[in-house]
Parts: sequence; structure tokens; C-alpha cells
Amino acid sequence: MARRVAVIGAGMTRFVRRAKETSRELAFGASRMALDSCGLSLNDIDCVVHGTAPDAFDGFHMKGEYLSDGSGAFRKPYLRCYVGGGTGVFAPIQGWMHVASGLFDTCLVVCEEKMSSCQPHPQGAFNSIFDHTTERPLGPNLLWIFALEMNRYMNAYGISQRDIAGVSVKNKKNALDHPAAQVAKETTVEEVLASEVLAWPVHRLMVSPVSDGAAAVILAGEEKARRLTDRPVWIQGVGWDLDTSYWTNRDLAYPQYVENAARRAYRMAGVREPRKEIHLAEPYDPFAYKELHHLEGLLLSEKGKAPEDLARGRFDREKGELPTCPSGGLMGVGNPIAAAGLMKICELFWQLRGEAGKRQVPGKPERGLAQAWGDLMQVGTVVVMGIK
Amino acid sequence: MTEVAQNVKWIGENWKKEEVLHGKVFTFSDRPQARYAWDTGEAIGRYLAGFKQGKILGVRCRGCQRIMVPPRIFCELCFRDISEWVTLKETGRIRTFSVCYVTWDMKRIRKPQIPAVIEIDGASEGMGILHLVEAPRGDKPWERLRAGTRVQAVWKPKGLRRGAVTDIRFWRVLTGNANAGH
Amino acid sequence: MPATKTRQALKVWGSWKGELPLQNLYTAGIAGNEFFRVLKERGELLGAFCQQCEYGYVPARSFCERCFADLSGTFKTVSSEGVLLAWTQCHRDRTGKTLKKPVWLGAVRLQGSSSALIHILKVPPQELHAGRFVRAIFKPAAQRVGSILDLSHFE
Repeated sequence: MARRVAVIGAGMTRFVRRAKETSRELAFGASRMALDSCGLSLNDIDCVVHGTAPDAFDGFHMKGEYLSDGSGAFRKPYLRCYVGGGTGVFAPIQGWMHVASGLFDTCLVVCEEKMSSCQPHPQGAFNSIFDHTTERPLGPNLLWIFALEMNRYMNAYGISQRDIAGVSVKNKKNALDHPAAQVAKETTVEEVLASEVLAWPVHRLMVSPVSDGAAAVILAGEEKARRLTDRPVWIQGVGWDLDTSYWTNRDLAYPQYVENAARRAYRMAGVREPRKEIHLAEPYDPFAYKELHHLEGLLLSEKGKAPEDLARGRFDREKGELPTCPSGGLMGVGNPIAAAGLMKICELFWQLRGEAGKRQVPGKPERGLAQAWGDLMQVGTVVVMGIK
Repeated sequence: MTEVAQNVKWIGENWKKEEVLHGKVFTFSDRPQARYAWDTGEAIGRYLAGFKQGKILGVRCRGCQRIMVPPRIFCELCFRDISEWVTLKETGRIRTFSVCYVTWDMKRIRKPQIPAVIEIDGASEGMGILHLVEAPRGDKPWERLRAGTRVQAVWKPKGLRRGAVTDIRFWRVLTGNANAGH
Repeated sequence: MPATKTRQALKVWGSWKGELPLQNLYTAGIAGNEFFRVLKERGELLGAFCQQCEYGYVPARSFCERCFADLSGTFKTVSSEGVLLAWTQCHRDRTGKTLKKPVWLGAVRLQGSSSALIHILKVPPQELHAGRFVRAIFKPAAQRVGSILDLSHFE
């Protein structure tokens, strides 16, 4: 059996639209903060895992290598991993493997993205996820794929845009208490619905922004973790799963691959009734509907019922039974792709240690879940963390 | 400790255009010459040759019996070779659609594009392709389209077809059953 | 036309041409901004120095990759003279075209720094050998814009 692995430190930069810092300086900022948070130096780190999305965003090929200095990888075993938007939760899974296997005692996991480098718009890079011969000649853009999935989700279960807009309101509001947030805002369902239609049914305020930023966590094996901190947050379960690459052949209404990933993570964590045993969740929310779509895939809401749960306040941070995206999520904190996913792991770490300040979920939560999603709308990555 | 952020110096600072113009923030630009020639391969090569003839071709897997489009020479579920080709109909149903008012570089377009996943008649259920639907008249095109709406391919004239997915100009709503349920 | 431009008709097997319409805009960063400001305004090269690792970086960096120390308080200019560590004679440009005249590039360790800076060399070929001293020649102040080419070459 694999040995237990804990998160013992976390750090991140502010998420901003156009950072003055270079990609390396962003990665360094997050890594340094994570090390400082648990009083470690770079010498204490045995190996490094780096997560970053397409090279085309930052505009460096071999981006993992380019960022290795800011990621603390100088003369250390180093691995870069990439599963599109799912990377931010996939990278700590890779780090978990490094430590759980017994190969290493400590691992620094760093995710970075500097999307502002990509001109005139990062969609120039995103477009290349479409098939070059059968899809790109139609002139697609990334919004299409989300709009098509959102419409299918709405249709399958009779959900309205109004039902979904509440996610933007909740997350942007939660982000007001996050010191690193880019697009925190007090807003209303009416304002979200009145914002510009970009690709119906997607309105502007239902989309996360283009961002620059980095996030990092420190992992340690059980023995080391207990020596270094009296409040380790254990990685209790991990899971990931991939659907077919032919996205137009999939049923876009339900993310079966997310369910498969979640079931793996729950099984490993010994979670039998996720709705009772998960106390807070950071589902992936690059678009408002995605949070609901994913909560269903994660078995935290019934199929098609996440909007009802949202409407009755089940996901509220202060009073809800299952607070979701207490950080403010991608919709509020921002979306530097890989870093945004790892930000969710950082949030679980702070929440479960009771260090989330104004964002603190009440009731001393003991177990949380973070999830990200990506590749060609087909990968689910899930981590369950807890204090026991 | 109640809040981790208390003693942290947050890094990550926005720059402004004026700072670049006044020489306070230095920037550099570059343009990679990222040009490609992608081989179509056998399956998509035949698929596109079919378009040139005004036909939509699919394939059937002898394992799972699925009739698939876009065609492929191996089944990703059964992981076996596929060699049986099937001519599909040029009609189908809208599985899902969007009405898009922006281009990839976020320029606004007045006449929206209507991308859709269209399930092709003659293929197995759920087998769709990405294509464009002709815009219905009116301000809110989404009120005139439904999941399940039946559509038909509108081909370019034969002489203008080149073996490309754009040989189908768009899909037109078939009259009489625009509101067909799913 | 969006991301893909098509240029040829297809037979049964063929190829489909397109491009990724990307441009990149990079910031110099926190340390880089200081390096280029000093280069532009003063015609000098700025380094960063890690005391613990006894290592000097040119161009200046904001952190030491060896020990992760914050180097932002350690910036100072270095000598414009240094030692040639290695050199090469290039006959092609970066797209693979043959150059009319070859270009020499050198790796130079400036006095007081530990790292090598790569730049253009203008030294008579017969005098090129590793270990010889070279000196940075800067463009006149009016022509400097805050680019690595404000340093014209080493001679």
C-alpha cells in the first residue's frame, strides 16, 4: 500500500490580467511563499513537479524547462505534466505519486500560466485544440465548445440561464475576500443576464477571465510531514479519467469521465456517501455552468439538480450545507489555467487548517474536494483532502 | 494563526499601456512562424473526397456495430481495425447549438455564426459533427432553434467543391418540423 | 478567415495546410526591467549577486535559482570587460538561409559575474581563442531603446 502523503505548505501569486513579472518570477513567487509557509528551504525539497498548459500561452517551447529555475528544480528530479485545464489538479496527483511511491520524501508542486503573452488573444492558442481538417476550417473559437455544452446541459434537464447565473454571483462575491483575486465583484443575477451575449447561451459575466499567475504546494510523506507540522492536510484520494477525443460523439449533458475520476478518489479516501462526507468543494468553474455540471459528475448533486441546490443556498459559503468555491473560483479569483486548478488545492489546504480568514467555511470542515477539467473537454482530475 | 495571507507580500502586479509607452516597462514581441501541413490520413482523406462528391461518409465497426462519423480507421472503444464504409444521409438533427457574436480574437460580428453539433441520419445515435446552421431571421435566433430541430446540408455547387468540410455551406432547417422535440 | 487558411484541394490522401496565428508579447520582468533600464539609460550591464552561493548572474535576476534567495536588493553593474569562454562561426540564419557573410557569436563571462552572456563578436577570426579578453561596445545613448541589442557587440 502506498504511504500517506500530506500537503504541508501552500502559496500563490495574485492573479492579474497582465503581469509585470516574467513567467519565471511568477513561479518563483508562488514557490517561495509555499516554502516560507512551512519554514522549508529549497534544500529540503527532494523533487519538483511542474504543471503548465500549452507552451503557446507564455510563448516558450519547452516551457517546463524554461520555468524550472522559478520552480526550484535546479539539479533536482523534475517532471512537467499537462492535461489542459485539468493540469492544476493533475500536477499534485503526480506529486502524490512521487512521494507515495517512497521515491521521495518531499515534493514541490508548482503551476504557472502567463496568458497575457499570447497576442492578440490567447484564443489563438486555444483554437488549435479543434481538429485542423474537420473543424478549424469552420472558424471555431473556444466559446463555441462551452456554449454548445452549456446549451446541451440546459436542454437535457430543462435548466435556464437564470438558474446558472447564480454561480457567477456566488463566486465573484466569495472572491471579494480573496487577497489574490482578479475579478471579484458584488453582482446580481440580473446584471449577469444583462451582460453582453458572447456566444448564446454564454454571457460575458458567465466566463472566467484571461489571467497571469502561479500557485504552489509542498507535499511530504507521513513521517516527514508529522515532523514538519502539527497540522498536515492529507491527500486521502486521487482520481483521473479521460473520455473519447471525438467530442461531437459524446453526450455533453453529463461528464461521465468526471464521475469515474471522482469514484476512484472516493474509493481511495474511503468516502461512501460523498454528499455527507465531503464538507466543502472546489469544482472547476471556468464558465458558470461548469461548476454545476461538475458537481453532478462528482456525485455531489443529483443529475440536473445542481441548479436547484444552488438556488436554495446549499452551496453558500456561510450557511450552505456544502460550500462550493469558497475561494471565489476561476470566476472570481481568475483563470491562469494550470495555476487556477492548483489554487483550488491551496484553498482546501487553508480551509481545512482554519487559515482562510474571511473566507473561512464555518463548522470546522474536515474533508474537501478539488476538481479540474480539461484536454478537449474530456479529462476529469480529482483530489480529496482531509485532516484525518 | 487565522489568516495565512496576513504576513505575505503578494506578488503579481499589472502593467499599464502608458508604462510601456513611457519606457517604464520594457516589453518584447515575437511572431513564431507556426505553419503546418497536416496529413489527412486515410479516414479523413476519404471523408473529404466524399464531400467533394456531395456525400457524407461514415464507417461501421464490426465489433460494437457503431456507425461513426467523422470516420476513423480504428474503433477507439473496441481497438480494432475498421474497413466498412457507409454513405450517410445528408440530413440530421441539431443536438446542441450556440449563437456566437465574437471571433476567436474577440472581435464583434454583427451577423452571428450558429455552430452546432449535428447528429447525422444513418449514423448511430449520438454521432454528431461540428458544423454551422443557417441563421434564422430575427433578433434572437436561439428562440427559433431547438435541440432536435431537423436540418439538411446545403452543398456548394459541384464546381466549387474542393474536398473540404466547408463544401457544405451550412445546414438549413427543414420546414414543417422546426420544433420537433428531442 | 480564422485560424486555418486552406491552400490546396484534396485528393483522397492529401495534406491540409494551416497556421497558428500567434504573436507573443513578453515583459522584461522585475529584474529584467532594471537590467534594461540601466542598459538604456547608462549603457551598463546590471548583475545580481547571491552571497550564499557566491554566484553572480548577468543579466540580473530577481532570485537565485540555486538557493531561492531574493536577489532584488543585490543589483549592481559589472565591468563591460570579460573572458571569452567559447565562440562559434554561423553561416546560416535562424530560418536556415545561408548568410552572405558569416557571423561570430561568443559566450562571455564578464568580470565579477559567474554566468555567461551570449552576444555578437567582432574580433578578427585569427585572434579568436577561448580565454582572451573582450569588451562590450554599446550603441550611442540616443539609439538605445532598452533591448539586448543596445549592447552592439563584443570586441
